[in-house]
Amino acid sequence: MQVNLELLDEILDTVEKPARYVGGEWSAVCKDLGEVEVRVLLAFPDVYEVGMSHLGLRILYHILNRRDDVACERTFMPWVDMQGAMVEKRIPLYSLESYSPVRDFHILGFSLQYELSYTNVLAMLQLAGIPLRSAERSEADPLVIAGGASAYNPEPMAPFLDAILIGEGEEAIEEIVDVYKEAKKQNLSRAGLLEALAGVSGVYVPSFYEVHYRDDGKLAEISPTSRAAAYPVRKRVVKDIRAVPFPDRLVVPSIDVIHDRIMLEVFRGCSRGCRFCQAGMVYRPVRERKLGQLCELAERLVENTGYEEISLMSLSSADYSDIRELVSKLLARYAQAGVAVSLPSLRVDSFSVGLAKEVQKGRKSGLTFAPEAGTQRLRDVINKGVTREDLLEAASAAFSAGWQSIKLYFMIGLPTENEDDLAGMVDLAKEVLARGREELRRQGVSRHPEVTVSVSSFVPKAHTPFQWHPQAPMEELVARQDYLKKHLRGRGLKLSWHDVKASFLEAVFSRGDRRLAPAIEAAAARLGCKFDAWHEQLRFDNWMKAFEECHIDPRFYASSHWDYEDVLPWDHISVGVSKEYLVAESKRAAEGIPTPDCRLGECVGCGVCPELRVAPQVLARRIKGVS
Amino acid sequence: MGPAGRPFDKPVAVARLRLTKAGPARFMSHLDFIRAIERSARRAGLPMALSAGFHPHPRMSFSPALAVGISSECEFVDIELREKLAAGEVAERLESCLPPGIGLVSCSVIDPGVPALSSVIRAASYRLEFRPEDVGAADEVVRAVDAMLQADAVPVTRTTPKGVREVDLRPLVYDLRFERRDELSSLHLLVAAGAEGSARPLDVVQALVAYGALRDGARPIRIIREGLYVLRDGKFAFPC
Repeated sequence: MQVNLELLDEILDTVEKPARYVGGEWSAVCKDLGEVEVRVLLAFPDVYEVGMSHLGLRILYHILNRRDDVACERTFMPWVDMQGAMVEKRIPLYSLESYSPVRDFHILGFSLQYELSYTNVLAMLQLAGIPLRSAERSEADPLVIAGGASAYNPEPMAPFLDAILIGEGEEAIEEIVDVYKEAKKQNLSRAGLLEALAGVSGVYVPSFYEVHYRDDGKLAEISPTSRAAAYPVRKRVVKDIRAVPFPDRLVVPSIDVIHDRIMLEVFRGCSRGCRFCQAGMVYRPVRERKLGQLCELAERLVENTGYEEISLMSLSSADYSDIRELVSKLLARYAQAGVAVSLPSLRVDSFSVGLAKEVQKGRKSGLTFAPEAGTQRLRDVINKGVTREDLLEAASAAFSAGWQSIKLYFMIGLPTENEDDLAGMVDLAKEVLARGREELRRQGVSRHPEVTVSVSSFVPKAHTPFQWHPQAPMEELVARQDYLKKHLRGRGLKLSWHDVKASFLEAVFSRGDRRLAPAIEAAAARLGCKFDAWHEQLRFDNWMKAFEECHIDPRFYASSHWDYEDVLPWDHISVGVSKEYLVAESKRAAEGIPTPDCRLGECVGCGVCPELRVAPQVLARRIKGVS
Repeated sequence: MGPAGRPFDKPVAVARLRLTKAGPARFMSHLDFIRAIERSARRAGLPMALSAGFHPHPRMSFSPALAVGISSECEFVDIELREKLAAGEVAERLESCLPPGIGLVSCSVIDPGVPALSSVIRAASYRLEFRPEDVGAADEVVRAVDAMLQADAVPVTRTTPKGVREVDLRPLVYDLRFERRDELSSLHLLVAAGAEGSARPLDVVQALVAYGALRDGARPIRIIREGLYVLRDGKFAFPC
């Protein structure tokens, strides 16, 4: 069945960027939905341009569509104007391939990538006509599942989701589909299906767990209520990255999306161990693809997509063992063919600048470094292995290679941060600018260098050594931003910062538990909160109203210190990194002791390899202490 | 490679394509369309001539931009080639590589050095479809169209991101004719298009509402660009 296309056509002529809502892209897969056994709809709770920039969604789409028994389609959150028009004309949320209502699908899979998209998940369920709470859904409703980066603490969304995949999806998604197929064949009830799904490694069924609370508001216990429920639920991990399919076709959007290029994942995971970084903990271990495989993939992707740029994706692409050779091979193959190569993230060192110089010949836009903190003391606390000299050398190298503007990423509100650290940021930015002036003068360039300082606010994240730490109160974060605004003035210096209200909400949900669900529901369903990640759409006052109505003090989650002994809302979810290791790292942070990267030789005992029975896949070196 | 990057490819031929843009593709902006053709040509493995410099890009030329939402039965694209290919070969390679909604109508291979399409196109024809209730009675329409075509000036306002400005439509409208059917009424337009000024279909709708041929608030259900023309021997003709 299709939605009313005539009505749809009418509203498409009245909304901004109608191409977001019509599909029809190159390589989009349109199957006959009546001919397949399982219909899956991948849903991204943000606009098309954001959702289509997400590599994971594009990978799962092709993995599922390779199967003859499955049709996989896509849907995104309609922008405010389209959402209003759809409600008015009673057009339910539909898929971009076949224009089928969401309710016609068997499995609805949400991509949860950031906390501030949660209200959009509920808005999409509402637009689809699916009950918001798992407990209220009937046999006729699709199975609503989710996965993604913010699913590592899925608790605030627990009542809304039937099942959640913790970890990597390439293999698990097929198993989920198989279980679904089998359950359908056996005529299992919804409850029976959920029990069967709980048997898939990495799948978490929230309704199979009960959370008990203490009088002081902290958690007392999380206990499974079903024999099918694992405790803990262990993150799903791809053991052999070289064996899982990486699609050689990608849907090529018809409109300009944020990351509109070939995204070639060179490796997964990062073991540098920055203590604030969730990605660095939850995606362990490091697994590199082979050089030859990457070159072959690049070849087929250029052929099949027609893209003009290949981006080498990972958490820190300069860390890839054979990065030099990979870059030069790709450049040799494509520089003459009008296909560019790019590196999205740069390490703070001159090696990385050299790589950037190689790929970005000619016009030099900007270069970004992330020293994160202003003093060596604080960089040691957060285990960011970057020195002042590293940064200044990298900056000099960049200016001498022809760049004229440099962006520096810092975080404010990190544990133990004081005024010296803020002064250190100012000092570093000015020193980088001075290097720029010196270098440009030496080259006889008349233009002035530019340094942009971009500051975000620390958000404590689950499964990191800083998970027990409070976020600094909003007033304090604003005061620190004001300090920087006052001191980072003058020719060539620019400053940008994040809305502290958005960071506060992120902290609430990143350390949240199930008691937050009613507030999310109130905010989304009654108070009109949506697109919270979009600065101009965030309605903070309504969020505060929602918390108040639900008798929730959001500061309990964002701004209070938790003890090592406390039961944490995500204690039943294991990413493989042990709690003992996180405690040890937290203590080392307090003493300012750095922890090395296990790729450099010595196993640091984070626990992920033995716990998940995996091993790092690193091309160049072997890691001692890991078999 | 020298400090200035790569030299440009010397074009030996130009593939001139006539394309349709409909269905989901009608919502692509002009820039989206350019990108889509470039990527299609790369998928097709056409030997495109690239520009010089560190960021070489294919050398292509497009007919005047089509507004988002309008379908077209006639878009022209010139792609400069660094190797000579037969028209049939270009068509065969490209056809299977175009995204849904973009179709290849015809293809010719011409000598390099032809003037850019955007500079030679002079006129465009459109078909606008209306619900019968949006169109005035037959005699009203005849009177209104006559009045409009005989007027010295037909001012309409255009709203752009830069503000509202007034445009005289009269010199830009060459022909205008209603065709009535039971379920739909079509308006056929021949108007100026290209670098020397152009009339937009919705400008004409605005004027026709003012003259009483169309009811207040009339909105075409569909707008289709049917043709694009150059001036050849004093007559409008297809560019290839």
